[in-house]
Amino acid sequence: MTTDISATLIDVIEAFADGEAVDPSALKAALADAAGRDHLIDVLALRALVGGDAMTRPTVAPTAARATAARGAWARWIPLAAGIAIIGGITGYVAGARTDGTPVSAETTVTAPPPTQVIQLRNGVDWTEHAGGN
Amino acid sequence: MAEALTGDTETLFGEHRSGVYRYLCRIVGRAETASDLTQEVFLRVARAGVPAADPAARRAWVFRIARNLALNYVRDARVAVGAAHVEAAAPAVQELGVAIREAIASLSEADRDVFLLRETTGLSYEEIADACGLSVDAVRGRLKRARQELREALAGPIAVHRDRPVRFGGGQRTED
Repeated sequence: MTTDISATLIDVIEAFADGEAVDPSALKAALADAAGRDHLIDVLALRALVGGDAMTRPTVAPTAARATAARGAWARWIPLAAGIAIIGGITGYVAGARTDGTPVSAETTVTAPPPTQVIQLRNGVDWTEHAGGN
Repeated sequence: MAEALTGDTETLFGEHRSGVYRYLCRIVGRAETASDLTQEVFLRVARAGVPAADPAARRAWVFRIARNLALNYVRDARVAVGAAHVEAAAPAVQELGVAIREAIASLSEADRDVFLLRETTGLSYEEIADACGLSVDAVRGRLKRARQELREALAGPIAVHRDRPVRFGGGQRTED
């Protein structure tokens, strides 16, 4: 186990195990220490336990009914794909209609125009315009 | 524009579907719920439109959506994190699965969040910081504390795994 191990050594080992950039000399020092090597193995073992696919695999043994469901599991993604296609289509139609055929940059931002008139709604007050206006 | 938008969404879906699903599995504990939430994540991505940003920022954005959905689900459903039902699995597998879930559930919410994003999706410290609204130093600190607590809670299983072949990498990558 990694009992007598400095905080710096832990930082270096964990950053290395996580694919972060580490100082080579600090890494050499950390790996030269048996406690550092043990810690690296512990981090990887913990990753295998937690990050591995043990959890993401169903823990329930497949019964006949579940096996049928599992065979059709890929079909669960069909509504999502259809949703994406529909939203993409609608967005494309709207974008095309607004730009009159002119391509729109991905960076284009559309902001709402500033209000020209502000109507305050209050209880008991008839806000409807009866005369004038445009 | 429509083609670019749809293409971006599909690209994100292809790259991160598995990572999002793994992460959600760990949070909600049920494969079926995780699958539904994964669909919801990418529906939201499609509705919102993929932001013009570098791949790392997009990845962080996707997992921020997943994280928010997962936390809302746990809050609304009032379920313990990772509280999956375990039925007819081999007793040893059941026991290990329960031990892992309980150990993860015992972490503070913030530590657990950072740990799971790191170990189930392979996000970098910077991407996790972006997804969780933390500094990189805070991510490093929370990750370290989470690992320390889990190493103590799972000392037995880790000891068994210590003698097995290990694969070195940056953790689970989100790309399939």
